Amino acid sequence: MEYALCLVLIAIGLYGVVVKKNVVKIVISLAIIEYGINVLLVLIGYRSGGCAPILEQGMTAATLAVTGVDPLPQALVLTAIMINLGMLFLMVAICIRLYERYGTFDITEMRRLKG
Amino acid sequence: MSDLIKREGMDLVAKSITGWLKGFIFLFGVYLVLHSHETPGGGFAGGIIIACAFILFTLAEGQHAGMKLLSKTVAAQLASVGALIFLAATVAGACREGAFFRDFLGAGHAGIRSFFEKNAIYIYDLALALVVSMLIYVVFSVTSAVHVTVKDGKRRMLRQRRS
Amino acid sequence: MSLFAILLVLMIIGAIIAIETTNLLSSIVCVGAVGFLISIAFLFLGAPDLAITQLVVEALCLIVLIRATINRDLTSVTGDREFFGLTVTVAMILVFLVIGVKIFDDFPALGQAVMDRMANTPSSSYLARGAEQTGAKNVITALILGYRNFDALGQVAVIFCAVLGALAILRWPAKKDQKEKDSEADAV
Repeated sequence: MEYALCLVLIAIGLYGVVVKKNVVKIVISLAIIEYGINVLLVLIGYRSGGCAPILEQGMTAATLAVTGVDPLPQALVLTAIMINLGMLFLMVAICIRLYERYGTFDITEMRRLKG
Repeated sequence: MSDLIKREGMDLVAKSITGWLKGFIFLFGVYLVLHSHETPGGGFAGGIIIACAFILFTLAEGQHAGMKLLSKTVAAQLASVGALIFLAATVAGACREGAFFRDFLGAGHAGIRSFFEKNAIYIYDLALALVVSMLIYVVFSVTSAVHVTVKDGKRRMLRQRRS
Repeated sequence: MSLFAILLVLMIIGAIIAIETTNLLSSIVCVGAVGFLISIAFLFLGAPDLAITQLVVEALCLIVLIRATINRDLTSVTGDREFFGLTVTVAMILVFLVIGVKIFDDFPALGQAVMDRMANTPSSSYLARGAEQTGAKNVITALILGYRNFDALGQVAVIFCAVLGALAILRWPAKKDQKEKDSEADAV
């Protein structure tokens, strides 16, 4: 159920990327795809009733190994969030330049981009 | 009236609240970086919060005051220094322990170590926080500094290529 | 319905509004709402590190996107691309969705971690020995900066490249534009 909902989120983002004409909408759709993938990865590593993978006071490593959630997807997603932030900065910069040059956010009017 | 227009940034309320808050936000970022070994947070979140302190100041006081506090060039140089520290720690692990990324400070110190004991994770963490915070500040100052508006709302090509 | 399903449904509603609304500013605000819901979901999924990072990154994304789009063309670009391509892409996305749901039927149910099904997975050994081997109580910090430090190095390189690209794109005034302006002024 939850996995399918994550896939729906990814599909909505994909729809926005393919269909929308506004460049900023495309950037937003890419961000939504990223959110869907991140939640999917963390959901796969979830253990019901699990605690965060942090060794707290009065807790031994053996109990953490039984109760903690999977730390590996979390580390991957932490990296992915930061890389997506850098990608978003790059895309926003490109959007600003395109607006300066064409005076609009409409990608169908940016004829020179066609290969 | 013209003085009010000339003055940069937001109004007085935003400026005074920023003056109170920016130090605390900066300290919270530093806390997250330094305590990444036992609390949630770490180099990424702490670095972004440090950058957010500078970004808040820049938004409230205006571009020139922000540049005076921390200029773009200095921020880019600090980010490069952070990346160099990261690389130096890597190479130090290779030289002292025989493998890249090996803990070059904590050899023979098994078990959980606090900040004042020897652990190379702190060096990596500080370098990461420096890189992330300064790079984000640079990018923010660049993307927010460009003010280009097209007059009259007309769609027109700003630059015609002659061919 | 579990808590995560409710949060995900709210996220989907926010995403649909963000994509379909005509005003660009409200669309950006809706994306911010989706991001903050994801932060709440991370908090309940046992990932406070991710929750903090997502919260801060989301605020930063909002600031940058709003600064980039304010004073610009907010509402005039509406509508979709041409009809034929639209139907084909929607059909493809539906096929993707159906295949994806089929594949996820084979996955273990939510709440049964993969590392419980097999012996000696890397995840369980990180949890059991991470604090002792790297000296950090937070296993995620131990993973990122201890076991998988190469990952962090690559990430620093990626962020550097992205920022350098943004700086090169936004160099103001761009050298080429400046030259053309000069030549135009000379011609006038």
